[in-house]
Amino acid sequence: MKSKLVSTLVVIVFILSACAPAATPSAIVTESPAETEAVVELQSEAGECLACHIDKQRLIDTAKPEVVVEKESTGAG
Amino acid sequence: MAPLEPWQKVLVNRDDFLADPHGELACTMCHGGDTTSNNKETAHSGMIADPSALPQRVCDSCHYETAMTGSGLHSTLAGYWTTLEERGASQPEHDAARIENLLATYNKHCGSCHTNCQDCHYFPPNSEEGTVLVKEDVVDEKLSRVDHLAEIEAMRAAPDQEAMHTMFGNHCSTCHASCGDCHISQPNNVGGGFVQGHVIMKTPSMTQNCTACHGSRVGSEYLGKHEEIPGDAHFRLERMNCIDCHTGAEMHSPGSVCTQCHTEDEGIEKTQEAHRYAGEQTPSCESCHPEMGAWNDTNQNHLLHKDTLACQVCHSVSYTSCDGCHVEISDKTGNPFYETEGDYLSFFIGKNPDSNYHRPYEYVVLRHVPASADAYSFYGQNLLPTFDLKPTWVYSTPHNIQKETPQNKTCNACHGNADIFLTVDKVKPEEVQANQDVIIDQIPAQVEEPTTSQ
Repeated sequence: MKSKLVSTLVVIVFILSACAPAATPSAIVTESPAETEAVVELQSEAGECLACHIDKQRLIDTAKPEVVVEKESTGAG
Repeated sequence: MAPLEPWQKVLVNRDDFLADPHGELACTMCHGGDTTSNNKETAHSGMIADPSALPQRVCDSCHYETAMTGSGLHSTLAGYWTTLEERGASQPEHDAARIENLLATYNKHCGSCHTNCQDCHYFPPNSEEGTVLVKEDVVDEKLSRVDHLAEIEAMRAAPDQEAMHTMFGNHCSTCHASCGDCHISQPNNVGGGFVQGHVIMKTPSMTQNCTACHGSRVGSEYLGKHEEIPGDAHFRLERMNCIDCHTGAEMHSPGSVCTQCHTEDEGIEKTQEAHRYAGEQTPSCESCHPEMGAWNDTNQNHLLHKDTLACQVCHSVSYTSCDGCHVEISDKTGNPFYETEGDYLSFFIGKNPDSNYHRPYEYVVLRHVPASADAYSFYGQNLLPTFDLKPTWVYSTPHNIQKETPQNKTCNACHGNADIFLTVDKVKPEEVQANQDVIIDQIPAQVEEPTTSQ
Protein backbone atom coordinates (compact mmCIF):
# COMPACT_ATOMS: atom_id res chain seq x y z
CA MET A 1 0.00 0.00 0.00
CA LYS A 2 2.79 2.31 1.05
CA SER A 3 4.79 1.51 -2.07
CA LYS A 4 1.72 2.16 -4.22
CA LEU A 5 1.28 5.58 -2.59
CA VAL A 6 4.95 6.46 -3.22
CA SER A 7 4.63 5.34 -6.84
CA THR A 8 1.55 7.48 -7.29
CA LEU A 9 3.35 10.53 -5.79
CA VAL A 10 6.34 9.98 -8.08
CA VAL A 11 4.06 9.84 -11.11
CA ILE A 12 2.22 13.00 -10.04
CA VAL A 13 5.49 14.85 -9.42
CA PHE A 14 6.77 13.73 -12.82
CA ILE A 15 3.59 14.86 -14.54
CA LEU A 16 3.62 18.24 -12.76
CA SER A 17 7.25 18.81 -13.54
CA ALA A 18 6.52 18.19 -17.21
CA CYS A 19 3.98 21.03 -17.14
CA ALA A 20 6.31 23.47 -15.43
CA PRO A 21 7.44 26.56 -17.43
CA ALA A 22 10.80 26.53 -19.06
CA ALA A 23 13.75 27.64 -17.05
CA THR A 24 14.49 31.43 -17.20
CA PRO A 25 18.17 31.83 -17.89
CA SER A 26 17.36 33.66 -21.17
CA ALA A 27 15.69 36.48 -19.22
CA ILE A 28 18.93 37.02 -17.34
CA VAL A 29 20.87 37.19 -20.59
CA THR A 30 18.68 39.94 -22.00
CA GLU A 31 19.12 42.17 -18.99
CA SER A 32 22.26 43.76 -20.47
CA PRO A 33 21.06 47.11 -21.83
CA ALA A 34 22.01 48.21 -25.33
CA GLU A 35 23.22 51.62 -24.14
CA THR A 36 25.94 50.05 -22.06
CA GLU A 37 27.31 48.23 -25.06
CA ALA A 38 27.32 51.44 -27.10
CA VAL A 39 29.11 53.44 -24.43
CA VAL A 40 31.72 50.75 -24.06
CA GLU A 41 32.21 50.76 -27.80
CA LEU A 42 32.62 54.53 -28.03
CA GLN A 43 35.08 54.66 -25.18
CA SER A 44 37.18 51.92 -26.66
CA GLU A 45 37.13 53.71 -30.04
CA ALA A 46 38.37 56.89 -28.41
CA GLY A 47 40.96 54.97 -26.46
CA GLU A 48 43.92 55.09 -28.81
CA CYS A 49 43.25 58.66 -29.84
CA LEU A 50 42.78 59.97 -26.33
CA ALA A 51 45.52 57.83 -24.88
CA CYS A 52 48.00 59.77 -26.96
CA HIS A 53 46.36 63.18 -26.99
CA ILE A 54 46.14 63.44 -23.21
CA ASP A 55 49.74 62.35 -22.74
CA LYS A 56 51.94 65.43 -22.85
CA GLN A 57 55.21 63.52 -22.89
CA ARG A 58 54.06 61.23 -25.69
CA LEU A 59 53.00 64.23 -27.74
CA ILE A 60 56.40 65.82 -27.16
CA ASP A 61 58.18 62.60 -28.13
CA THR A 62 56.21 62.09 -31.32
CA ALA A 63 55.92 65.71 -32.45
CA LYS A 64 57.48 66.52 -35.75
CA PRO A 65 59.97 69.36 -35.39
CA GLU A 66 58.23 72.50 -36.55
CA VAL A 67 59.87 74.23 -39.46
CA VAL A 68 60.28 77.86 -38.59
CA VAL A 69 58.82 79.73 -41.53
CA GLU A 70 60.52 82.99 -42.22
CA LYS A 71 57.99 85.80 -42.01
CA GLU A 72 58.10 87.55 -45.33
CA SER A 73 54.96 89.66 -45.12
CA THR A 74 55.39 93.22 -43.97
CA GLY A 75 52.92 95.78 -42.70
CA ALA A 76 49.43 95.48 -41.30
CA GLY A 77 47.55 92.59 -42.82
CA MET B 1 50.13 86.32 -28.75
CA ALA B 2 52.90 83.80 -28.10
CA PRO B 3 52.76 80.78 -30.41
CA LEU B 4 51.92 77.43 -28.82
CA GLU B 5 54.40 74.56 -28.66
CA PRO B 6 53.54 71.72 -31.06
CA TRP B 7 52.36 69.48 -28.22
CA GLN B 8 50.27 72.26 -26.71
CA LYS B 9 48.36 72.65 -29.93
CA VAL B 10 46.96 69.12 -29.79
CA LEU B 11 46.87 68.29 -26.06
CA VAL B 12 43.33 67.29 -25.13
CA ASN B 13 41.95 68.21 -21.71
CA ARG B 14 40.53 64.77 -20.98
CA ASP B 15 38.20 65.58 -18.10
CA ASP B 16 36.71 68.72 -19.59
CA PHE B 17 36.38 67.24 -23.05
CA LEU B 18 34.73 64.03 -21.89
CA ALA B 19 32.32 66.06 -19.75
CA ASP B 20 31.20 67.86 -22.92
CA PRO B 21 28.51 66.15 -25.02
CA HIS B 22 31.01 66.09 -27.90
CA GLY B 23 33.22 63.92 -25.74
CA GLU B 24 30.62 61.17 -25.97
CA LEU B 25 31.31 60.79 -29.68
CA ALA B 26 34.01 58.60 -31.05
CA CYS B 27 36.92 60.69 -32.31
CA THR B 28 36.64 59.06 -35.72
CA MET B 29 33.07 60.26 -36.16
CA CYS B 30 34.41 63.71 -36.93
CA HIS B 31 38.07 63.16 -37.72
CA GLY B 32 38.28 59.81 -39.46
CA GLY B 33 41.69 58.18 -39.20
CA ASP B 34 42.55 54.74 -37.92
CA THR B 35 41.45 54.40 -34.33
CA THR B 36 42.86 50.91 -33.92
CA SER B 37 46.47 51.95 -34.28
CA ASN B 38 48.69 53.37 -31.57
CA ASN B 39 51.24 54.39 -34.18
CA LYS B 40 51.03 58.05 -35.02
CA GLU B 41 51.51 57.70 -38.76
CA THR B 42 48.97 54.96 -39.29
CA ALA B 43 46.52 56.38 -36.76
CA HIS B 44 46.54 59.66 -38.68
CA SER B 45 46.12 57.98 -42.05
CA GLY B 46 43.09 59.55 -43.69
CA MET B 47 42.53 61.83 -40.73
CA ILE B 48 40.70 65.14 -41.21
CA ALA B 49 42.37 67.68 -38.96
CA ASP B 50 39.60 70.27 -39.21
CA PRO B 51 36.36 68.47 -40.04
CA SER B 52 34.40 71.68 -39.46
CA ALA B 53 35.89 73.12 -42.62
CA LEU B 54 32.89 71.47 -44.24
CA PRO B 55 30.23 72.28 -41.64
CA GLN B 56 27.46 70.57 -43.53
CA ARG B 57 29.37 67.31 -43.16
CA VAL B 58 29.82 67.38 -39.41
CA CYS B 59 28.65 70.38 -37.37
CA ASP B 60 25.39 71.13 -39.12
CA SER B 61 24.18 67.57 -38.80
CA CYS B 62 23.37 68.41 -35.18
CA HIS B 63 23.55 72.21 -35.04
CA TYR B 64 21.03 72.85 -37.76
CA GLU B 65 19.52 75.60 -35.60
CA THR B 66 22.58 77.79 -36.06
CA ALA B 67 22.36 77.22 -39.79
CA MET B 68 25.95 78.23 -40.38
CA THR B 69 26.22 75.93 -43.37
CA GLY B 70 28.95 78.02 -44.81
CA SER B 71 26.74 81.04 -45.49
CA GLY B 72 28.36 83.46 -43.07
CA LEU B 73 30.97 85.91 -44.28
CA HIS B 74 33.63 84.24 -42.13
CA SER B 75 33.12 81.16 -44.23
CA THR B 76 32.32 82.51 -47.68
CA LEU B 77 34.68 85.50 -47.66
CA ALA B 78 32.10 87.01 -49.99
CA GLY B 79 33.04 90.49 -48.82
CA TYR B 80 36.37 90.16 -50.60
CA TRP B 81 34.80 89.07 -53.86
CA THR B 82 32.19 91.83 -53.64
CA THR B 83 34.96 94.42 -53.50
CA LEU B 84 37.11 92.73 -56.11
CA GLU B 85 34.20 92.50 -58.52
CA GLU B 86 33.32 96.15 -58.01
CA ARG B 87 36.88 96.88 -59.10
CA GLY B 88 36.46 94.84 -62.25
CA ALA B 89 37.73 91.42 -61.28
CA SER B 90 35.60 88.35 -61.74
CA GLN B 91 35.75 84.87 -60.36
CA PRO B 92 35.46 81.79 -62.52
CA GLU B 93 32.29 79.77 -62.39
CA HIS B 94 34.40 76.65 -61.95
CA ASP B 95 38.07 76.25 -61.25
CA ALA B 96 40.38 74.45 -63.64
CA ALA B 97 40.29 71.19 -61.72
CA ARG B 98 36.51 71.14 -61.89
CA ILE B 99 36.58 71.60 -65.67
CA GLU B 100 39.05 68.76 -66.11
CA ASN B 101 36.90 66.59 -63.90
CA LEU B 102 33.81 67.40 -65.96
CA LEU B 103 35.63 66.60 -69.19
CA ALA B 104 36.98 63.35 -67.81
CA THR B 105 33.52 62.36 -66.62
CA TYR B 106 32.02 63.22 -69.99
CA ASN B 107 34.63 61.28 -71.91
CA LYS B 108 34.32 58.28 -69.64
CA HIS B 109 30.57 58.03 -69.47
CA CYS B 110 29.15 59.97 -72.40
CA GLY B 111 31.67 60.43 -75.16
CA SER B 112 32.90 56.86 -75.49
CA CYS B 113 29.83 55.44 -77.25
CA HIS B 114 30.90 56.21 -80.81
CA THR B 115 32.49 52.88 -81.62
CA ASN B 116 31.77 51.97 -85.25
CA CYS B 117 30.12 53.05 -88.51
CA GLN B 118 26.90 51.29 -87.70
CA ASP B 119 26.38 53.64 -84.79
CA CYS B 120 25.23 56.34 -87.21
CA HIS B 121 24.81 54.56 -90.52
CA TYR B 122 22.91 51.58 -91.70
CA PHE B 123 22.89 49.65 -94.92
CA PRO B 124 19.34 48.69 -95.85
CA PRO B 125 19.00 45.14 -97.13
CA ASN B 126 17.76 44.47 -100.66
CA SER B 127 18.76 47.96 -101.74
CA GLU B 128 21.16 49.05 -104.40
CA GLU B 129 24.73 48.29 -103.54
CA GLY B 130 26.44 51.16 -101.75
CA THR B 131 23.27 52.63 -100.36
CA VAL B 132 24.05 54.09 -96.98
CA LEU B 133 21.46 55.79 -94.84
CA VAL B 134 21.99 58.00 -91.83
CA LYS B 135 20.34 57.44 -88.51
CA GLU B 136 19.29 61.06 -88.08
CA ASP B 137 18.12 60.74 -84.51
CA VAL B 138 21.39 59.13 -83.45
CA VAL B 139 23.44 61.79 -85.22
CA ASP B 140 21.40 64.55 -83.59
CA GLU B 141 21.95 62.99 -80.26
CA LYS B 142 25.70 62.68 -80.84
CA LEU B 143 25.91 66.26 -82.05
CA SER B 144 24.22 67.34 -78.85
CA ARG B 145 27.07 65.66 -77.04
CA VAL B 146 29.46 67.88 -78.94
CA ASP B 147 27.47 70.83 -77.67
CA HIS B 148 27.94 69.51 -74.17
CA LEU B 149 31.66 69.59 -74.72
CA ALA B 150 31.43 73.15 -75.93
CA GLU B 151 29.40 74.02 -72.86
CA ILE B 152 32.02 72.55 -70.60
CA GLU B 153 34.78 74.37 -72.45
CA ALA B 154 32.83 77.61 -72.13
CA MET B 155 32.93 77.19 -68.37
CA ARG B 156 36.69 77.31 -68.46
CA ALA B 157 37.91 80.46 -66.75
CA ALA B 158 39.31 83.30 -68.80
CA PRO B 159 43.00 83.91 -68.09
CA ASP B 160 42.21 86.92 -65.88
CA GLN B 161 39.64 84.94 -63.94
CA GLU B 162 42.08 82.10 -63.45
CA ALA B 163 44.73 84.55 -62.27
CA MET B 164 42.37 86.10 -59.72
CA HIS B 165 41.23 82.68 -58.60
CA THR B 166 44.82 81.64 -57.99
CA MET B 167 45.60 84.89 -56.19
CA PHE B 168 42.52 84.51 -54.00
CA GLY B 169 43.43 80.95 -53.09
CA ASN B 170 47.02 81.88 -52.23
CA HIS B 171 46.32 84.99 -50.19
CA CYS B 172 42.73 85.98 -49.40
CA SER B 173 41.45 82.51 -48.56
CA THR B 174 43.82 82.24 -45.60
CA CYS B 175 41.24 84.35 -43.74
CA HIS B 176 38.54 81.70 -44.18
CA ALA B 177 37.29 80.64 -40.75
CA SER B 178 35.70 77.28 -40.04
CA CYS B 179 33.48 76.50 -37.04
CA GLY B 180 36.51 75.10 -35.26
CA ASP B 181 38.56 78.25 -35.88
CA CYS B 182 36.18 80.07 -33.54
CA HIS B 183 34.98 77.35 -31.18
CA ILE B 184 37.91 74.93 -30.77
CA SER B 185 41.23 76.23 -32.03
CA GLN B 186 43.12 79.38 -32.74
CA PRO B 187 42.99 80.28 -36.42
CA ASN B 188 45.70 78.82 -38.60
CA ASN B 189 47.10 82.21 -39.49
CA VAL B 190 48.28 82.56 -35.88
CA GLY B 191 49.62 79.04 -35.75
CA GLY B 192 46.52 77.12 -34.72
CA GLY B 193 46.23 74.96 -31.60
CA PHE B 194 43.47 74.14 -29.15
CA VAL B 195 42.26 77.03 -27.02
CA GLN B 196 40.90 74.88 -24.18
CA GLY B 197 42.19 71.37 -24.82
CA HIS B 198 39.67 70.59 -27.58
CA VAL B 199 36.71 71.66 -25.45
CA ILE B 200 34.11 73.00 -27.87
CA MET B 201 33.61 76.51 -26.56
CA LYS B 202 30.20 78.04 -27.03
CA THR B 203 31.79 81.47 -26.66
CA PRO B 204 34.98 82.09 -28.62
CA SER B 205 37.96 83.61 -26.88
CA MET B 206 38.20 87.32 -27.66
CA THR B 207 41.99 87.34 -27.91
CA GLN B 208 42.68 83.81 -29.15
CA ASN B 209 39.90 83.76 -31.73
CA CYS B 210 38.34 87.12 -32.58
CA THR B 211 41.29 89.49 -32.43
CA ALA B 212 43.68 86.75 -33.52
CA CYS B 213 42.38 87.61 -36.99
CA HIS B 214 40.88 91.05 -36.42
CA GLY B 215 43.95 92.31 -34.65
CA SER B 216 45.83 94.93 -36.58
CA ARG B 217 42.90 97.31 -36.79
CA VAL B 218 39.89 96.35 -34.64
CA GLY B 219 41.81 94.53 -31.92
CA SER B 220 44.45 97.22 -31.43
CA GLU B 221 41.84 99.96 -31.40
CA TYR B 222 39.42 98.20 -29.07
CA LEU B 223 42.05 97.11 -26.57
CA GLY B 224 43.86 100.45 -26.61
CA LYS B 225 47.19 99.21 -27.97
CA HIS B 226 48.02 102.46 -29.76
CA GLU B 227 50.15 104.75 -27.70
CA GLU B 228 48.26 107.69 -26.17
CA ILE B 229 44.97 106.54 -27.68
CA PRO B 230 42.61 105.00 -25.15
CA GLY B 231 40.86 101.75 -25.81
CA ASP B 232 37.19 101.61 -26.61
CA ALA B 233 34.97 102.80 -23.75
CA HIS B 234 32.98 99.59 -23.98
CA PHE B 235 36.16 97.71 -23.09
CA ARG B 236 37.78 100.18 -20.71
CA LEU B 237 34.71 100.84 -18.63
CA GLU B 238 32.53 97.78 -19.08
CA ARG B 239 35.00 95.07 -20.09
CA MET B 240 32.66 94.10 -22.88
CA ASN B 241 33.70 91.17 -25.04
CA CYS B 242 33.25 91.04 -28.83
CA ILE B 243 30.22 88.81 -28.51
CA ASP B 244 28.46 91.29 -26.24
CA CYS B 245 27.69 93.20 -29.42
CA HIS B 246 28.35 90.65 -32.18
CA THR B 247 26.00 87.84 -31.30
CA GLY B 248 26.01 84.27 -32.43
CA ALA B 249 22.95 84.99 -34.53
CA GLU B 250 24.90 87.62 -36.45
CA MET B 251 27.88 85.33 -36.91
CA HIS B 252 25.98 82.25 -37.97
CA SER B 253 23.12 83.44 -40.09
CA PRO B 254 23.45 86.65 -42.07
CA GLY B 255 19.71 87.07 -42.36
CA SER B 256 18.74 86.31 -38.81
CA VAL B 257 18.56 89.90 -37.62
CA CYS B 258 15.97 90.86 -40.23
CA THR B 259 14.00 87.71 -39.77
CA GLN B 260 13.61 88.38 -36.07
CA CYS B 261 10.87 90.82 -37.07
CA HIS B 262 10.16 90.05 -40.73
CA THR B 263 9.12 86.85 -42.39
CA GLU B 264 10.71 85.47 -45.52
CA ASP B 265 7.32 85.87 -47.19
CA GLU B 266 7.91 89.61 -47.06
CA GLY B 267 10.84 89.15 -49.39
CA ILE B 268 13.45 90.04 -46.81
CA GLU B 269 16.80 89.04 -48.17
CA LYS B 270 19.69 87.92 -46.11
CA THR B 271 21.53 91.04 -45.15
CA GLN B 272 25.23 90.36 -44.97
CA GLU B 273 25.76 87.97 -47.80
CA ALA B 274 27.61 90.50 -49.93
CA HIS B 275 29.71 92.28 -47.32
CA ARG B 276 29.58 93.22 -43.67
CA TYR B 277 28.13 96.67 -44.21
CA ALA B 278 25.26 95.44 -46.36
CA GLY B 279 21.77 95.57 -44.90
CA GLU B 280 20.94 96.44 -41.33
CA GLN B 281 23.64 97.51 -38.92
CA THR B 282 24.46 94.51 -36.80
CA PRO B 283 24.65 95.81 -34.26
CA SER B 284 23.74 99.49 -34.39
CA CYS B 285 24.65 101.78 -31.50
CA GLU B 286 20.93 102.30 -30.94
CA SER B 287 20.58 98.56 -30.27
CA CYS B 288 21.89 99.28 -26.78
CA HIS B 289 21.40 103.06 -26.67
CA PRO B 290 17.85 103.49 -27.94
CA GLU B 291 17.51 106.89 -26.29
CA MET B 292 20.11 108.41 -28.61
CA GLY B 293 18.38 110.90 -30.86
CA ALA B 294 14.96 109.89 -29.57
CA TRP B 295 12.34 112.47 -28.66
CA ASN B 296 13.33 112.40 -25.01
CA ASP B 297 17.09 112.68 -25.62
CA THR B 298 18.33 115.72 -23.73
CA ASN B 299 21.55 115.99 -25.74
CA GLN B 300 20.92 118.64 -28.38
CA ASN B 301 23.86 117.42 -30.46
CA HIS B 302 22.21 114.05 -30.86
CA LEU B 303 18.97 115.64 -31.97
CA LEU B 304 20.74 118.02 -34.35
CA HIS B 305 22.97 115.46 -36.01
CA LYS B 306 20.86 112.35 -35.95
CA ASP B 307 20.75 110.69 -39.38
CA THR B 308 23.31 113.21 -40.70
CA LEU B 309 26.37 111.92 -38.87
CA ALA B 310 27.33 108.35 -38.16
CA CYS B 311 27.90 107.94 -34.42
CA GLN B 312 31.62 107.39 -35.03
CA VAL B 313 32.01 110.89 -36.50
CA CYS B 314 31.68 112.36 -33.02
CA HIS B 315 32.69 109.40 -30.89
CA SER B 316 35.70 107.68 -32.44
CA VAL B 317 39.31 108.78 -32.41
CA SER B 318 42.34 108.11 -34.61
CA TYR B 319 42.43 104.65 -36.13
CA THR B 320 44.68 102.66 -38.43
CA SER B 321 44.76 103.18 -42.16
CA CYS B 322 46.99 101.31 -44.58
CA ASP B 323 48.37 102.04 -48.03
CA GLY B 324 49.01 99.93 -51.10
CA CYS B 325 49.10 96.20 -50.56
CA HIS B 326 50.92 93.93 -52.98
CA VAL B 327 50.87 90.17 -52.92
CA GLU B 328 53.39 87.74 -54.36
CA ILE B 329 54.84 84.27 -54.10
CA SER B 330 58.31 84.31 -52.60
CA ASP B 331 61.16 83.26 -54.89
CA LYS B 332 63.09 82.15 -51.84
CA THR B 333 60.56 80.01 -50.00
CA GLY B 334 57.70 79.54 -52.42
CA ASN B 335 55.29 80.90 -49.82
CA PRO B 336 52.72 83.61 -50.45
CA PHE B 337 53.35 86.93 -48.76
CA TYR B 338 52.09 90.50 -48.78
CA GLU B 339 53.63 93.92 -48.40
CA THR B 340 51.79 97.04 -47.40
CA GLU B 341 53.40 100.36 -48.18
CA GLY B 342 52.62 101.76 -44.78
CA ASP B 343 50.16 101.98 -41.94
CA TYR B 344 49.39 105.05 -39.92
CA LEU B 345 46.85 106.56 -37.56
CA SER B 346 44.43 109.05 -39.00
CA PHE B 347 40.93 110.39 -38.48
CA PHE B 348 39.01 111.72 -41.44
CA ILE B 349 35.37 112.55 -41.92
CA GLY B 350 34.06 112.14 -45.46
CA LYS B 351 30.88 111.66 -47.41
CA ASN B 352 28.99 108.43 -46.97
CA PRO B 353 29.81 106.37 -50.08
CA ASP B 354 26.67 104.27 -49.78
CA SER B 355 23.87 106.18 -48.13
CA ASN B 356 20.86 103.91 -47.69
CA TYR B 357 17.90 103.13 -45.44
CA HIS B 358 20.05 101.51 -42.80
CA ARG B 359 22.92 104.01 -43.04
CA PRO B 360 21.34 107.30 -44.08
CA TYR B 361 24.22 109.44 -42.83
CA GLU B 362 25.65 112.23 -44.91
CA TYR B 363 29.00 112.10 -43.13
CA VAL B 364 30.91 109.05 -41.92
CA VAL B 365 34.49 108.32 -40.89
CA LEU B 366 36.72 106.90 -43.60
CA ARG B 367 39.58 104.46 -43.35
CA HIS B 368 42.12 103.98 -46.13
CA VAL B 369 42.31 100.34 -47.05
CA PRO B 370 45.48 98.76 -48.46
CA ALA B 371 44.15 98.65 -51.99
CA SER B 372 46.02 99.59 -55.13
CA ALA B 373 45.33 99.13 -58.81
CA ASP B 374 48.41 96.95 -59.25
CA ALA B 375 48.02 94.97 -56.02
CA TYR B 376 47.85 91.69 -57.95
CA SER B 377 50.28 92.46 -60.76
CA PHE B 378 52.32 89.41 -59.79
CA TYR B 379 49.45 87.31 -61.14
CA GLY B 380 48.57 89.34 -64.22
CA GLN B 381 48.26 92.77 -65.69
CA ASN B 382 45.25 95.02 -65.16
CA LEU B 383 43.34 92.52 -63.03
CA LEU B 384 41.33 95.37 -61.48
CA PRO B 385 40.30 97.23 -64.65
CA THR B 386 37.63 99.35 -62.93
CA PHE B 387 39.67 100.14 -59.84
CA ASP B 388 38.50 103.76 -59.86
CA LEU B 389 34.84 102.79 -59.43
CA LYS B 390 35.29 102.13 -55.73
CA PRO B 391 36.87 104.43 -53.13
CA THR B 392 40.07 103.52 -51.37
CA TRP B 393 38.87 105.59 -48.40
CA VAL B 394 36.01 103.42 -47.23
CA TYR B 395 33.09 103.53 -44.81
CA SER B 396 34.42 102.46 -41.46
CA THR B 397 33.34 101.78 -37.91
CA PRO B 398 36.46 102.19 -35.75
CA HIS B 399 36.29 100.26 -32.51
CA ASN B 400 37.67 102.98 -30.25
CA ILE B 401 34.48 104.72 -29.17
CA GLN B 402 34.84 107.50 -26.56
CA LYS B 403 32.22 109.65 -24.94
CA GLU B 404 34.45 112.70 -25.31
CA THR B 405 36.70 113.16 -28.30
CA PRO B 406 38.81 116.01 -29.69
CA GLN B 407 36.19 116.76 -32.35
CA ASN B 408 33.18 116.84 -30.02
CA LYS B 409 34.59 119.13 -27.35
CA THR B 410 32.97 122.15 -28.94
CA CYS B 411 30.96 122.78 -32.09
CA ASN B 412 33.90 124.40 -33.81
CA ALA B 413 36.28 121.65 -32.88
CA CYS B 414 34.60 120.02 -35.84
CA HIS B 415 32.87 122.79 -37.81
CA GLY B 416 35.49 124.59 -39.84
CA ASN B 417 38.28 122.23 -38.78
CA ALA B 418 39.88 121.30 -42.09
CA ASP B 419 42.30 118.88 -40.45
CA ILE B 420 39.65 116.25 -39.83
CA PHE B 421 37.83 116.29 -43.17
CA LEU B 422 38.97 114.28 -46.15
CA THR B 423 39.52 117.02 -48.68
CA VAL B 424 41.14 116.46 -52.05
CA ASP B 425 44.56 117.63 -50.87
CA LYS B 426 44.71 114.66 -48.49
CA VAL B 427 44.14 112.10 -51.23
CA LYS B 428 46.91 110.71 -53.41
CA PRO B 429 46.59 112.17 -56.91
CA GLU B 430 46.28 108.73 -58.49
CA GLU B 431 43.36 107.93 -56.17
CA VAL B 432 41.34 111.13 -56.53
CA GLN B 433 39.13 109.66 -59.22
CA ALA B 434 38.33 106.58 -57.12
CA ASN B 435 37.42 108.73 -54.13
CA GLN B 436 35.25 111.35 -55.83
CA ASP B 437 32.19 110.11 -53.96
CA VAL B 438 33.71 110.51 -50.51
CA ILE B 439 35.90 113.59 -50.78
CA ILE B 440 34.53 116.66 -49.01
CA ASP B 441 34.37 119.62 -51.35
CA GLN B 442 33.50 122.19 -48.75
CA ILE B 443 33.91 121.63 -45.04
CA PRO B 444 31.05 122.74 -42.76
CA ALA B 445 31.45 126.37 -41.80
CA GLN B 446 32.07 127.44 -38.25
CA VAL B 447 29.00 128.13 -36.12
CA GLU B 448 28.27 130.21 -33.10
CA GLU B 449 28.97 128.25 -29.96
CA PRO B 450 26.02 127.89 -27.58
CA THR B 451 26.36 129.78 -24.36
CA THR B 452 25.75 126.72 -22.19
CA SER B 453 27.21 123.31 -22.86
CA GLN B 454 24.97 120.29 -23.04
